[in-house]
Amino acid sequence: MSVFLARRFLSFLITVFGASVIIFLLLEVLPGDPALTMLGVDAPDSAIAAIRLELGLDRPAFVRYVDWIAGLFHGEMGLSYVYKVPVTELIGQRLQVTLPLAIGAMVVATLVSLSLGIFAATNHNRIGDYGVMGFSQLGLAIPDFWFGILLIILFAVILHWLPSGGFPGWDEGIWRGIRSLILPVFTQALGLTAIMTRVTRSSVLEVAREDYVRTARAKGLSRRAALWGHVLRNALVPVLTIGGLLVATVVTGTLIIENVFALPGVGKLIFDAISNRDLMVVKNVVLLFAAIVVVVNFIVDILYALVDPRIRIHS
Amino acid sequence: MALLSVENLTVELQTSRGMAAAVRGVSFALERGGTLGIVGESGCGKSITALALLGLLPDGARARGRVDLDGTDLLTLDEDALCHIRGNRIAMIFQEPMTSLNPVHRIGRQIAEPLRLHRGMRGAAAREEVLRLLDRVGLPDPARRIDAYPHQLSGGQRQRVMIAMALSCAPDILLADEPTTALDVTIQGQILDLISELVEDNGMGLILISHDLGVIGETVDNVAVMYGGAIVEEGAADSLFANLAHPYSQGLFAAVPRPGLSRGNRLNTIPGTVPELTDLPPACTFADRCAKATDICWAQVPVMNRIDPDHRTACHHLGGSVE
Amino acid sequence: MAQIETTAPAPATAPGGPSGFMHRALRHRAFMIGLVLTGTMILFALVSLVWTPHSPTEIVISQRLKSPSLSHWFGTDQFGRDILSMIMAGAQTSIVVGLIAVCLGAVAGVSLGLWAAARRGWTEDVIMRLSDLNMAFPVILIAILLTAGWGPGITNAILALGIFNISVFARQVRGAAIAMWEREFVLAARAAGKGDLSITFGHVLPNIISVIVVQATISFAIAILAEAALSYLGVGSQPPDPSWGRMLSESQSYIFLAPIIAVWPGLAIVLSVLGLNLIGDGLRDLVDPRLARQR
Repeated sequence: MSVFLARRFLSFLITVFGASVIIFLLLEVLPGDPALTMLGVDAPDSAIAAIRLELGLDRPAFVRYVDWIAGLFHGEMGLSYVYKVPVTELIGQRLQVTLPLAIGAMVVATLVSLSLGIFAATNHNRIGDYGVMGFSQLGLAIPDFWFGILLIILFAVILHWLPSGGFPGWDEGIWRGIRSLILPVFTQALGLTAIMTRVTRSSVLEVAREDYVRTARAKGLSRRAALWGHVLRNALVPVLTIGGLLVATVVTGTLIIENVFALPGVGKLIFDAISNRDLMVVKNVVLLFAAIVVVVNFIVDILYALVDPRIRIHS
Repeated sequence: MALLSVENLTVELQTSRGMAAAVRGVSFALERGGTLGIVGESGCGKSITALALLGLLPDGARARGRVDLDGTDLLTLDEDALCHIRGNRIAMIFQEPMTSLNPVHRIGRQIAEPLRLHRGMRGAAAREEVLRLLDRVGLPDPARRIDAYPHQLSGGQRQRVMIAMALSCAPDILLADEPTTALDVTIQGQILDLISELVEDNGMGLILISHDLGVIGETVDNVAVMYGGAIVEEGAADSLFANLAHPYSQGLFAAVPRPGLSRGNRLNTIPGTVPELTDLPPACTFADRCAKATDICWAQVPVMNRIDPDHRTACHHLGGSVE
Repeated sequence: MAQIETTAPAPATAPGGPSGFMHRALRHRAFMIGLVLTGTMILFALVSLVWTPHSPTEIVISQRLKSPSLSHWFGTDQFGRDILSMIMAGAQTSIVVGLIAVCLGAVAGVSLGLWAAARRGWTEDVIMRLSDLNMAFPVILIAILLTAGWGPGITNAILALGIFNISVFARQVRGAAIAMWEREFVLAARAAGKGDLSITFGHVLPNIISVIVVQATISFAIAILAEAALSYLGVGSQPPDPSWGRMLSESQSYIFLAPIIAVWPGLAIVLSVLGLNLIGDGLRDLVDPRLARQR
């Protein structure tokens, strides 16, 4: 197990390192002079000279890269060129919206898709199964941002039950904050639920045909007890894998959903930064997201080994 | 009265081409402590018969007839009542010890499950009992193995675990469905000996299902030969093997390679292949492969005739006293 | 003893030949619905090349935000442009972006996957680690990086999707190809002294082509969704090119005035994606009936 952990951790470090190199190359080296990228080609020379000095852009790319990474190890991401505040601070503020959104969507999607998937599998080839499968086929085809717009039309424009967008901040009271996150969370959960429902259903169906489930029934376990005691834990393995891969989709999906609902989260931050050509913010936020994706995959690998003892030996 | 008596059991399964009878009017009885072997090729209905006894038929299957355990017809019981019988009064061992144990649970927990379910045993008491069972089935070093996962054991060891599991609640009847088929030849004997020994010591009834005449002959007192969902020949093991009567039984026995058969002698095999359930001949299911078949075999279902005091067969071409 | 298969009907012996395939395809309802939906989308795009009811880009302020009528079937947007015409023209963008992105990803990914499977060892390790790295950058992150470095444009969306698809195809193909390399007919070809290259193209690739086609269909569907999302966010297609995603982002400002204009482009996306997904699932069923049942 410890060898397994060490190997996974090493490949995790290499991937994050590679990601930082790619980001740096794509933003600061390949397009040419970052000062020009930030100010535009028409900018006066004096302004360009000033920004070079201010951000240390006159130093060689390699030095700047090492500087960036060294800073990250000290928990520093540099100053936002536009807002003149530390990038860590900006990200910290914005995560107060993005994290609850991502986690909320994950929780909703997991609860709904496990229930629907198990329901469909236990009603295999019956009307409930077809209904659930139809729903998930549709859920896969609906773009989440459009679903968000439809929810806004229904719940904000027509029914006036929930706000159409924006976020008052947690200081204004927990309930007001939650209220403005309800539609975004469900919007974000849609596609996720659709995929995970399909995976849960097929996984449960497959495991239910295994010999050891028959053994469990032959011991005297009821259908329900065999499902909970023997089917689900084994069926969970593929669901977990897909769920892990989907965390990446959720995290990056928040970028879109925050746009739909005008939420001041990390997604809004990065798109503002693109319009403002605030490279410092873009660079660090993209690395943060890439790192989250990699960390989640790393955690999934470990969970995987905990759920299925065979993997500890074989990989 | 017999402990288990099966009368005219018929099982229909759902197939892609509609319902098909996998078991056709099978009857047999098992005394307390008696041993019965059911022998036949794949698809002859022997495993379905076993699953029907436990009420574990696949979805959409229908069973008719009677399966009396101590006078209670199991086919009329509801799911809850059947759960009290499975693993408690009738326990089963399956063919594939590799896939019949849950890979994500430790074996101790899997063996303790019927104890918890039927005896309400938990914690230290259950663990103690599991250790005793593992020791009883001859698993070396039970104290260490009890916390192993199935993939850490060999095939023979896993089958011992399956047996311990089946044994845990001291069932009246042990159903063993090809318990040695998936094992190495050297292990097969050991497992069969273990089963025989346990059956004798505990006074259990045994129904041993196999395609292997050798396995059956060595282990049981009574034998039933199945083909196409029906029993074609049955009787005490000694007299049945001494005088195989039904053309199918003869073919089955002739198809087994025996030492001493001189080189150049072709192994006798039964012509044709085992047909799909839905394609079976309507009357005598063996008619299309039988050298002796005549018109009557296609027209009329043969009944059991007694050809010896304890030996009966169902064939139009074998006389005897009709019951 | 093999227990009689009952829960799952025994798979019909695979009818060989294209006529058997056609026959089964015609009876596969979901697959046929998918074909009709996708066919309609392609038809829209083709017709829009030569004719649209109105100009998809012409601004007629007097006609702004009109409800559906006989002359404007789907109504008009905030600039008085005909929505039906814009949707027809938008189909072009979706198809072009999807096609190029999938081809890019498929060509590179299939080659890498085949290479990894043929060589194994450290070649495979390197390719798989690179693919791990690729997976750390979901489409939207790649698009953001490209846009921040080079400014917005449809090329970014195409590149981002293409790059993302490389590892998708590489992983799929590697898995399928490795399984092929272990089959008897490949062992036989090796024993006959054939080289990696000739085995790969002579035996492995022809046998996994169905895997690739199914993946391409699904990837096409995902590409249409992603193009819409990127254009919605402003990092995809730029004005005045017609795009379903951008139509949605523009419609959102008028959601209180004319919610209906947010409905049409979304429907277009849903039906196109649904069509491709149904084709993909259907192909999988038709190619491998055994696999289909597990999904």
